[in-house]
Amino acid sequence: MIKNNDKISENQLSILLFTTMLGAGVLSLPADVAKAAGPNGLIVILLGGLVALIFARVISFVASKFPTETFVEYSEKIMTKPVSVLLTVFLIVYFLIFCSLNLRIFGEVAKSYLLNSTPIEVIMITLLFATAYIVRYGIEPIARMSEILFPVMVIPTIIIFLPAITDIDLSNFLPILRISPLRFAKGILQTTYSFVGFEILYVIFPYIQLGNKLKKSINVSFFSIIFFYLYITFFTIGIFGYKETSVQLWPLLTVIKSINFPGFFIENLESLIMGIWTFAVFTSISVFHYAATLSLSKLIKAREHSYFVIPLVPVIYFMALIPESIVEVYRYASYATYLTLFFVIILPLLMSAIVKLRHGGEKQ
Amino acid sequence: MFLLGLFNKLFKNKNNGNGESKDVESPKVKEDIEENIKYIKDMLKDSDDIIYREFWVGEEFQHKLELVFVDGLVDKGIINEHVMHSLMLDSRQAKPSIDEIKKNIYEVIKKAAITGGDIKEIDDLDKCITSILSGDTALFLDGHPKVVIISSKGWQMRSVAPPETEMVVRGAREGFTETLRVNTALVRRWIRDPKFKIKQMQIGKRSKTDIALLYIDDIVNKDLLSLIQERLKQIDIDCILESGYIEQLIEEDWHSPFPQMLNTERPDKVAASVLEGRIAILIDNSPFALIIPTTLATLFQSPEDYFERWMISSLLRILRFTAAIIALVGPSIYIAFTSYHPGMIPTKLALYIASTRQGVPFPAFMEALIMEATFELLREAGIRLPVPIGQTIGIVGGLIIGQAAVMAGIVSPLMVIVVAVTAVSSFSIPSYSAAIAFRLLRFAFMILAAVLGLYGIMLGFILMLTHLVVLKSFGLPYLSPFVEINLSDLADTIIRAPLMVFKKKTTYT
Repeated sequence: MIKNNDKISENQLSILLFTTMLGAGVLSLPADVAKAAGPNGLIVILLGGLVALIFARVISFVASKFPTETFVEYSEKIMTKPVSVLLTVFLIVYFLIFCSLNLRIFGEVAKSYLLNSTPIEVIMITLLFATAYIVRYGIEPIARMSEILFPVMVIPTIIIFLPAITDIDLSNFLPILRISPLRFAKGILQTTYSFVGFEILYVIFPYIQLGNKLKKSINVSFFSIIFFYLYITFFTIGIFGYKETSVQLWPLLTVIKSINFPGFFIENLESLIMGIWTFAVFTSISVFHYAATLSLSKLIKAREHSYFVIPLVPVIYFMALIPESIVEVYRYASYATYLTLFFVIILPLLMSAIVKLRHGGEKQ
Repeated sequence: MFLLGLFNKLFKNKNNGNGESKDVESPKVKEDIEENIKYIKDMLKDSDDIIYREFWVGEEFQHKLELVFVDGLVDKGIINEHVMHSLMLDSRQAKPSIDEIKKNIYEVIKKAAITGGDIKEIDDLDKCITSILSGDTALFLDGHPKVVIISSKGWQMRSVAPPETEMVVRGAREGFTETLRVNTALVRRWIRDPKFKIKQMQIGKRSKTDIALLYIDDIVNKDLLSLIQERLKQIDIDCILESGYIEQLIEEDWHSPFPQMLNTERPDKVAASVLEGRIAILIDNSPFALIIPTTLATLFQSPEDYFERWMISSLLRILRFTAAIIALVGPSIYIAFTSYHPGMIPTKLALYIASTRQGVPFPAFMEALIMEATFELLREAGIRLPVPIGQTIGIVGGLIIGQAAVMAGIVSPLMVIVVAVTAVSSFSIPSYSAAIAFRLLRFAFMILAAVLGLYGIMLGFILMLTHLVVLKSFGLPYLSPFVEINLSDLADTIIRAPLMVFKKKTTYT
């Protein structure tokens, strides 16, 4: 009998990371990389993903030193209490920002593609409450949900693009690497945004049944998401060319609109993609919502995380409504990248350095 | 939440208090036969179907014996031939000397005089009454503080017939009946394993219904077994009328529309489940067995899947899962596409739908609701009516009302097709309990589609899946093996892999 122990297996972690990283960003990803690196978008994604993987491993290295504690507790041990509290607050805000960004982008896309006359507020609040419903039950149902939705998201997406394979113009990916190194590096940093979500490793370690496959499962999730992004971007840029891709807001939807699936009932496949993408956004939002709730409950030292699920709903909702327009949403998103820079690169390096030094000191 | 917990606690304590104070000592069998019979007659006063037969045996008829049984529940043949005949006539030829008989008639009767197959002795009068009322015969002996209970159950019962709700083309035709003993025998015939256990207990303060737990000792999960026994013992109810009572009283989540136990009329299904390490509960007076634990995937399995070739079975499985999705969202997809996203269906079809809907005065949601409600009504009426009229209702409802509704311009012809396909789909789910769950949720999906279009349907799926991932059937995730994935378990879910793949079936799939 499988007990309700509120822990997820390492395989589940792998899928959970995948579905968390696959969020609202995927719609604009081809445009982002086309803007940043032109025809070299694929290389940027690959390198950006590898950079993200390295730092995910750094975070998991630090966190695995304290396998029974969340960031809230072990950051206090590594740094001091005031610093820890400050960082935790920032971390919560960070999770909330990405939660609300995903939510807002979802609302915008759903409004413009599916429900033209429905107020965006209705779309957002309904999804948010659906999220709250699952978050209340903790990490285990979220991980199971990811497992169920993973094939639903990945398999149709991969099949949908196949008929378009003849439309790809490989010259769209040329010239290779004729780009200034600075712009290239900037592009890599920007794509890291598409991998946002693995920061949950800061807080979910106590909820993983740790075995010896942790590193492998993190690697697997990153390689599969890199492959998935490469696949999508390859088709989008390959069909449209980088110039056309970069001027579009959501090139993924546009490219799917152009694909004609032979002998298929639904004419416009973007409805299918919208459905799949609803699932993708839902899993991301629920994980961010969960991570924020969990950190908050640990910060206040509450017994149950579920007390804070509903109170955070209005917070996320109003944060999502702050930007005036979709352009502003993406401007805010690019600001959030600085926070990403801190939480993904600077903080893990800092903490792992401290941990290493201290451990070295203990050994002597 | 906290307050609720507190209330629960208080409530539970109160319950415990009640339970403890209720223990009353039940009287023992006395030496004097008249006293015993008086007690029984007192307890069973005004029950005219109880028969008391007193008779005397021995050389000079010095030993008084009395038989007590319920007329109609016992096999008179057993009593006449194997009890009365043996005691009154055959025993005269028995070897023991008269002295010996005088000393210990009880031992003699027990050891040599009764030729009935199954006897036991008890010294508790209340237990004795329960036995009498369940069809056994009690034999009282003067001067001995024990009662001999002779198993003599035999009443008018339905014979074993094909299971009506779970027909198969290929496979055994036997279905359970209303008699527990017949049902356990039906399962026993499939499994001749000494480790196969049939454990009985009684539930119901007044009905004292026999229920049997069936499992295989070395496969079953012991925690699960004790959990089920624990929950069964906690049942506090007067009467168990059907397996549905047990199901609802021991299930994990009563909020859920989904069945957390599989019910089946088929002994082969029970045998197969027991061999997989599950536990089956058989209930007297019910032809339905409960199987625990159950997952969503098992609700889509039919015994036939394993009897036909694997490719065909896999195809049928896929068909059933597709049917479930159609049964769930068929009308709501129609609502979403016609009222929110006409641009997503092929232009020609969209134009056609628009033209057929031109005269329809209702929005798509009302149209769908009217048709679905009519259909549910017809289905309900069809069940209540006798079989020949039921079929007529089907034809009248399906053909004439549908046709008339279209001609009257109340609904569009496409809507009739959608409703018909949805109905057929919901019938192809092997488990009736699962099918009605999908029927119920269909209306929720229709409302969501009417309010939020395709996004509403997606939202509905998210909410339903959330419920399903949280739901557990006795500790087993309801969606396993799709969650906590183990690739080898997936061989018997949406597809049914060749039989060679399952070497030893011990996982719940």
